[in-house]
Amino acid sequence: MEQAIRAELFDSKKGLPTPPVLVLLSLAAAGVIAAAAWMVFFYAPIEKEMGFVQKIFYFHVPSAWLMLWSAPLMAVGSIGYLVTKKDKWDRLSDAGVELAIVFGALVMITGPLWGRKAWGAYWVWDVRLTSTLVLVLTLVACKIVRGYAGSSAKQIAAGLSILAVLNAIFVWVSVDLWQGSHPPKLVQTLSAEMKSTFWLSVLGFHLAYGALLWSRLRMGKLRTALDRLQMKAVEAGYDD
Amino acid sequence: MRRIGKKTVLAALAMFGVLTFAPLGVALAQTSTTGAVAPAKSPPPGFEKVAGAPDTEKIDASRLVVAAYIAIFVGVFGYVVYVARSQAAMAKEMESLASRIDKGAS
Amino acid sequence: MTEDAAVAVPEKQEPGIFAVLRGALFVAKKDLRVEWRSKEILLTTGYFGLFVVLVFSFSFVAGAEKESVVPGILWVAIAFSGALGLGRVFEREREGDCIRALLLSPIARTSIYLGKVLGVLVFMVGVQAVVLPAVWFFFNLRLSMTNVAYLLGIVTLGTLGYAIVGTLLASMLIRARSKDVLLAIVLYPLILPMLIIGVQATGLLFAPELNLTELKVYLRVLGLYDAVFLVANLWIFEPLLMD
Repeated sequence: MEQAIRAELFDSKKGLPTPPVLVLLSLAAAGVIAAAAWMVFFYAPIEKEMGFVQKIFYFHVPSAWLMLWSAPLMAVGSIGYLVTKKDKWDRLSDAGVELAIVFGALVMITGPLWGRKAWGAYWVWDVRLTSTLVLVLTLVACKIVRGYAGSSAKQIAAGLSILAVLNAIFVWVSVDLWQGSHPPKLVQTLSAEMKSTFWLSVLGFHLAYGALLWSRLRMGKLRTALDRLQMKAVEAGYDD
Repeated sequence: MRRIGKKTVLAALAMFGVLTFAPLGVALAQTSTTGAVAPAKSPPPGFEKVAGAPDTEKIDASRLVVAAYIAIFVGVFGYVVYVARSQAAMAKEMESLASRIDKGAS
Repeated sequence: MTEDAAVAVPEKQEPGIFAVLRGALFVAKKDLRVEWRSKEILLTTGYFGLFVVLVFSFSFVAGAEKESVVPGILWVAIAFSGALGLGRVFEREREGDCIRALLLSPIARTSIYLGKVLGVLVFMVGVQAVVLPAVWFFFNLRLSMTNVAYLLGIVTLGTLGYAIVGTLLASMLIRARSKDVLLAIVLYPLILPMLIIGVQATGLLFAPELNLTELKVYLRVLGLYDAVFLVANLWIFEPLLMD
């Protein structure tokens, strides 16, 4: 079993080969993001009401979307793991959680920077802000638990990430009852230049997301293989 | 062991950084020299200020944009570096383990 | 050992709903009987809740707007003392590895979870029997009977949600090393919607005129929170405690 994984992932002559498609994907992502960055500053016009600060939008919104993509990813992984107890589902769940934290953190950083100009305050207790904050906090807690919970950490992390998704929905509902000031969906209202810039940026972020997810899943696979190999080494009496 | 070396990764990151940050720098330089930038051709109706924000908000927007930009860069590439590094560490450990097991087996 | 026991237990088919509920009652009764003999959790957590209220009263004693302060204090006291009680309930189960015996007994997993929820709910209601009068007393609250009834409804629904989520998390972490801290870390973000709604709904009761439509929406969302998390947790609990 571990031989197969080793053969697939790891060649003792060449080290750890990166699949060419992954390399291409990463390069494409970098290229498209660089192009999008160029368009953001040279092609897209300055927005009338908000001015220069609106340019954060081109990176903020794709990050938020990627965070939202990660949520079903980790929910599927977690449910799959709880049902089948197969490690590959756990890897998917873990990758989803990590990516959701990364992009959620980016949303949480870029959003307030925009809000500082648009609302005059870094933070307002708005639906999206609050539910994103709670989701990211829950997922970080999930990662912490995974690290320290011991033998049943995988099950716990799976259960927690399902609860985190449900919870984010509830936070959304509860804060929606309470107040709201986040700008509504704006994509349709963009001018043509803004739109093309935005969609290019979205494309770049999604390519980057694909590359990141792929790398993260490979890392998880490697971790599983390493654990097996270590077990084998201990069995054979080579532990140190 | 032949894998993508640290130098290669760093060079790639630096390259990308230059590529993405150059337009920002140029754009900022332009805004500071010309002052007002040409207004939008067709004023989009979507973005509106939330009522209640103080009118006296005269914060330097460029600083906020730069901060957001840097955050995105640091976040994504910090994660890439984290994945690459832990993967490399695991691969190294795996190699030494595998070689020891192979040696013991033969 | 686990497999032998599983073979020994004859009923492998799904137990009926009444059997599940009866099992849940058994588990809850066991917990309550243990508690009734020692009274440890109720006394310690109730006393702790009282102190939370007191500490907050001291820090807000100058503030005139008690309407905006009281709901927060009430729900913070509930949240803190609840976390403390939850930790103790499951610590008791871990001592002497009682949880293993409980899992080996011919009671459905669902019953164990439901029974634990019920037990925790009763504990927390007991604690609130201390916290609510304390808040009323120290802040000179004047509430009409209908508002008191609404308050009890809000608190009960909120506490039920707390028990539903908290029981799952505490039982998940029963074998974890630093489970007290971990429980606090995961519990507070997950009960946040309940706290938000609870605070908002309680705040409505202190308004000069009761906004009944809004209150009903809050109550409905609280009920929905309880129901959704109960269903999800019943599903999650089953595969979680396999070992």
